[in-house]
Amino acid sequence: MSSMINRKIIFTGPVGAGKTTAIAAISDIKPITTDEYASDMTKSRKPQTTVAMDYGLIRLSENERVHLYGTPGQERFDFMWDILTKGGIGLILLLDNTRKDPFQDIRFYTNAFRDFIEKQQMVVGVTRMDLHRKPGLPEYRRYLESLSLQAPVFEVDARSHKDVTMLIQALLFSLDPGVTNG
Amino acid sequence: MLTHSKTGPLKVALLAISPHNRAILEFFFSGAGRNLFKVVPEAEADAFILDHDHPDAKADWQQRAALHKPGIILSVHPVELPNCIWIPKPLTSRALTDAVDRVYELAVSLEPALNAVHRPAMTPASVVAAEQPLVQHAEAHFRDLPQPFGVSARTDRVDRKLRSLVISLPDEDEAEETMAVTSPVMQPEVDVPMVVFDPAEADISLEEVDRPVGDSLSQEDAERRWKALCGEQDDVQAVPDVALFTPENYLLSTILEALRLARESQQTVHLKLSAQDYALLMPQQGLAYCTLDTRSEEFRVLCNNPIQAGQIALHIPNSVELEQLEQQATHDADALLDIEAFVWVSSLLTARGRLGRGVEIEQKISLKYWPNLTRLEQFPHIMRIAALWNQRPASSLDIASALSIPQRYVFAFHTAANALNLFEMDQNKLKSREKEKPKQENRGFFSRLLKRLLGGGTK
Ligand SMILES: Nc1nc2c(ncn2[C@@H]2O[C@H](COP(=O)(O)OP(=O)(O)O)[C@@H](O)[C@H]2O)c(=O)[nH]1
Ligand SMILES: [Mg+2]
Repeated sequence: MSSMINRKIIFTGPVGAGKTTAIAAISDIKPITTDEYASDMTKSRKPQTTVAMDYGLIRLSENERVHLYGTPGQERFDFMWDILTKGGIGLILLLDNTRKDPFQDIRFYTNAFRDFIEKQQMVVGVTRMDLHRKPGLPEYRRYLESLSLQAPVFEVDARSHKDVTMLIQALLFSLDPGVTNG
Repeated sequence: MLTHSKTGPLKVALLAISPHNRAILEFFFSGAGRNLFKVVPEAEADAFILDHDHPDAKADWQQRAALHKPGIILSVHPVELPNCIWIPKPLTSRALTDAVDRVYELAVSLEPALNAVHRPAMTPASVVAAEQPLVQHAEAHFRDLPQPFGVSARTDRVDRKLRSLVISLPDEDEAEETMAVTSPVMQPEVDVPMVVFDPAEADISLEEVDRPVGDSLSQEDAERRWKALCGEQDDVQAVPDVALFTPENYLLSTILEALRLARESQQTVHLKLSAQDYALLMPQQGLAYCTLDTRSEEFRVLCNNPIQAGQIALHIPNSVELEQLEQQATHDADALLDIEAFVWVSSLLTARGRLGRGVEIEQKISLKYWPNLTRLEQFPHIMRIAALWNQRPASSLDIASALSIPQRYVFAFHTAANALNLFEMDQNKLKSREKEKPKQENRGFFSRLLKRLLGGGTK
């Protein structure tokens, strides 16, 4: 128990960007959705605080786990997500390319996680580019640069295990290029 | 642990705030923010905190308008109220930490008013009567507010049967302090986080998923392709021995010209590859269309061999021609690829692990933008090369030796990323982005996670 290592990867971004799908693509368990007023809880003797989020899990070994958190949509995103980042490896920001103003989404979510991004690392995945090609990746790169944000930006399909894995790889290598997969 | 230079935590009263958000604030105040804030009954408070997006916010603020107590207003939209500071949502620990200083400053400026007022016996109603202008300000302020985030979400709560999870995984060393959360002010209906539920230890039975191992190239095929993309030459000891190619002799230089033309004109460019084959570069969609499969032997040979005079041509098609060409491309959607992926693979096939003549081999450069690796052809060590080069200025040879990998992969990356203008070459703008402390302590854990993810299956 004392040797249990728990780390988190946090998926954020607007509703429909593919957070739930991305977590499902790599989780060992079928992802579950929590709710701030989960009915289980009212029966619990000890009240607990919950936040609506997606939750998935990768078990690396008996005592090593990576918890996958998907943040709720913006309308339920009003409080203190940054305190949930403790033990976080990094942030995966998913953006939906069919949304009216994906750049505004970048501002919102990078502001909410500013300290975490500074301390750890962010990787950006742009989804639904199969449906809508604009803006293109060069525009995203330049926009992030204008906010002084340094992050890999990839086109992804959240349904693709390979694409989601690539986001995580970029996260891990960015934190330590010396990581190996041997 | 967050700390503050002022003596003791700021005593605050929580006014209109939903039980859920109140619980989260108290969670913060009892943990990381312990030295910054202390929740107390209103009479003892130095300041109050109010969620402006809460339905009771208006009434609560009006009742306190005349007390001249500093307020911290949390809101999605900017708010200006007298004697208050605004913290935008989503709230962050840092914003709350900074707020403490701002509240102390505000308190100092309000001091004379507070001393002059001195009316503990006054009821909120009589205060309001005495401070009509402030109340009018508040009235006007709360009128016609845009519908904030969060309010509707709280009202249309459904009683779905959902599993509950808690927001934070306490580290072992913090488990005690999070266990001991108590709340001095508590409305009867408020849930207080007494215990932090750790999904890692809860043993809730979760349904396992089986994920089929994805199909990929056989190891043999993959290695053959890497040779086509990155060559086979051995490492060299000295700069003069680095293998070079002359871009002008190859199709690549025309492709780069076509890319530049397409991007500058924002029009589709037609590139004739041979009597029957061609490529289209469509900058608007960020796509390329090539009648030859970029993985085919024919395309490899085309990139690899010096071009003949008159073989290649490029032009911007007129609208009639364009319509026809685009129709053809949409019918043959499999032959569409990311425009950068087209340039990338062409560069690799041309260079085969060599650098372009004219490249300053020893110059330190850094990767300004990551290539779009999900849509580009891969070769060994590509992620590590990108990550390291993104972190610090280095020459190709530096990267190869720092990562202990064959130089040809770094040369290949250099040529292809350079074709896409992804490097920062300006020596004045180069800077190291390495984090102060390399996170090597995670290396084993990260490596296991990586191996697991790349392994494909569930376990
Ligand atoms: N066409 C397309 N659909 C996608 C892509 N990524 C995700 N989706 C779909 O988008 C929908 C919304 O995804 P979801 O994971 O629920 O988004 P969330 O709100 O961020 O959790 C799902 O039906 C996904 O299958 C993509 O790249 N292209
Ligand atoms: Mg979702």
